[in-house]
Amino acid sequence: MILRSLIRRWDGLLPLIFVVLWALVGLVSLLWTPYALTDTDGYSVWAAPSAAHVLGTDGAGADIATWLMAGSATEFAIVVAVIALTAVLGVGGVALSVAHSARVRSVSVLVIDALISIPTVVIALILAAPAGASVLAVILACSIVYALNLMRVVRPAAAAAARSQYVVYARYKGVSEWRIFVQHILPQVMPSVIITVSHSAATAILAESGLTYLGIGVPAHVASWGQSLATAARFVTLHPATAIWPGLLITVAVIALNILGDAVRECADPLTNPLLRGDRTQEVKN
Amino acid sequence: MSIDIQNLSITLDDGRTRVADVSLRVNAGERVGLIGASGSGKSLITRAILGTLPRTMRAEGRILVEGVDILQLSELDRAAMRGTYLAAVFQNPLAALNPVRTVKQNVALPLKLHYALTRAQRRDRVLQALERVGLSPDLASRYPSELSGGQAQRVAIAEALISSPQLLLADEPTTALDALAQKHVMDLLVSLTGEQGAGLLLVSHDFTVISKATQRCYVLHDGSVVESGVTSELLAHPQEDYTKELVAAAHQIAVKGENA
Amino acid sequence: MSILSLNHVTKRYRGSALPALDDVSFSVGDGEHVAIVGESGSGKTTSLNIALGFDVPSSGDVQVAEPTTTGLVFQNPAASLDPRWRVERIVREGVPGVGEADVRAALEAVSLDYDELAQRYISDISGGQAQRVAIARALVSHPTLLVADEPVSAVDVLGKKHIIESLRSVQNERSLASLIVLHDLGVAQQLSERIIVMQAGRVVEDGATAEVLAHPQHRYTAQLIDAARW
Repeated sequence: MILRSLIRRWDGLLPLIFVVLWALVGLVSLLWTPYALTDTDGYSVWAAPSAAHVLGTDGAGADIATWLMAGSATEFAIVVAVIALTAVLGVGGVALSVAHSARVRSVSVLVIDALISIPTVVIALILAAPAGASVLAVILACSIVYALNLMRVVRPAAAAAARSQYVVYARYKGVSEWRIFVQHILPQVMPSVIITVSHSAATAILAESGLTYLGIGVPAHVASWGQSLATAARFVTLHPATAIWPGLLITVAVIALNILGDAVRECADPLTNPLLRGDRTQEVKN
Repeated sequence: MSIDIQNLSITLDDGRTRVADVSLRVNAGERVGLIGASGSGKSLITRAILGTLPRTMRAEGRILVEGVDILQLSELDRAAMRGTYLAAVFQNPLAALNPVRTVKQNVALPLKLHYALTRAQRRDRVLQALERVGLSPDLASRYPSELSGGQAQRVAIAEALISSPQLLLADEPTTALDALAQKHVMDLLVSLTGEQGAGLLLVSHDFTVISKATQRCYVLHDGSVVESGVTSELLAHPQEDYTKELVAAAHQIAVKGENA
Repeated sequence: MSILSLNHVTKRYRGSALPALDDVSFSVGDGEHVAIVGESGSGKTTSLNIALGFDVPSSGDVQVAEPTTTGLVFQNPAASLDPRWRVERIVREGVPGVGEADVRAALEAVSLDYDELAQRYISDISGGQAQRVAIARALVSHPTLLVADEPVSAVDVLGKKHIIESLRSVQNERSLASLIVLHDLGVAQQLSERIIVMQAGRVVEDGATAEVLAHPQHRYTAQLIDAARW
């Protein structure tokens, strides 16, 4: 039902198509790419697009299209993992920060506020320090920072729902605190959770690029869009064309995820989607 | 000053009609009621008069003030009318008053915006206005959140009447108040509009309120006027089923019995 | 025999000089319909909260007869019913073993049609209907005491009428007592056989509804009657 509403609107359909294509290209890259990642052609570095290299080659003579295809898989994995982890950690934190027990509430708010003050780069450095740069470190660093941000953004609305009379009533009726959170509080804040998580996913792509550029993100032998951009960026004044493709992909992906988040929020909420309410008048109209 | 609404329709962007072909008149100094259930479109009519309809709605027809169609006026001219010729009091005074301004700052706002007065003149006018609505000058330096609902609504009335408007729009002014505060606010609206010779358009869902304060009234149902007339006659002999239902409902929640 | 009584209850809040409740005593008999009337700040809602155990008295005590099941109705249905739940789920919440038939019966008791409304959301029905859903929710556990805080003040006059009619039929057809907080004596006349008038944290009048309305003993009661007269 949500999907049905989503594909009926341009701001749901277009980003959805992009995301599906992205996932497909990533999947295909696991089985086949035009060249191997390690294939370099020393005789044609910085080559312009041609039949042999559709997007040209980089400074080492590696095929840009191959690296971007393989990068799609990494990027998609990062985005999915960040979405899942941010949502789970973030919602868990929100649950603690609006708990019925005043002690749990104040301690968790204190901890969240303290952690929020640590910048992403510092967390990434801490995580990258023991094992060196890795995709996992990027995912963890992003998820922790975005989950904290989610807690900060969503907490006021969750606290308002937690003080509402329907919660007072449910508690009066002996409904457990866990159920109250999942069934009453979480649905009220789901729209802002969706928005924050989709924004986090988009920001994760940018953060991956940034961290990789700084050398504490994706390691040099792993393909990612940030990797391609970081490679190209060193020579962007000499060979600007090679930076365009990863840059464009990153930009479109960021925009698509943000728009998709907005559309999903509206389609998934019974208050804004008449189809979910079983509104017959609206169904006739469509 | 009279206001003459002719064939007013208010439609949504998607073509749905919320108010259909409503004609309504308030003569100079007259107190007129507009009654209807929630969703009947009565508040939209007051917003159309004030020029504060949501952007998703369009008003058609004519709203004549002294023969001038105010729907045709520029935004600036309409803003100038609010706070001079027109003033309004709404249901929830705490939402209408600026919470970070004191009572006297709130009441003085129309004077500040529309009149060139000295600070001392403004202060005198504000204190007079507060006195007229029965509020002690001690309250002048308080903030709206420190007042009771009834007091806050009196402040809103003082603000509305300070610029001596010729027509006061009151949209459910007593709905958020207790029984006694309701009575005081109604008495105040009647006596003050009378003193100033201002007209009153009182919007309410409740005939109990309309019956106490108005001379004539219009019954609005689903965006159309279904009945109108002299309030006392309309109450005694409602013609339309819908009006009968409203009258019966109002009777039910009034205290019955002879003595006391 | 009374099923609920407050005995010399005083409630003080920190930082306020005057007590919110000052030596308040009253009781609700088995099957009796009682209204507490007063303005905001009179202590009527505080009394209710203490009676329900939501708040504790500074001194005095509350006694509830065993077994008493309480059904609860709040002032504003838009705030007391979850906007993202369907009517059926709202009515069922927290009462184990409730089936469709029970929900249907509870809705019927307040003149609402199960087939029409059970799958709707609160935003899609009128305020009067929503408040009757709240009453149905209170009825589904077959309470012996129905407690309502200003049940008609958040809706328009036609909604008020329907809510009053529903509450009256519930009072007549179910064997329960009721304690209803109101600010309007006209509504209290419809919904109670005994009226307790509160002012500034004290009970100023307590008597049979007809008697209080015909011969108010306290000046404040007379003012309230005057304000609610047609």
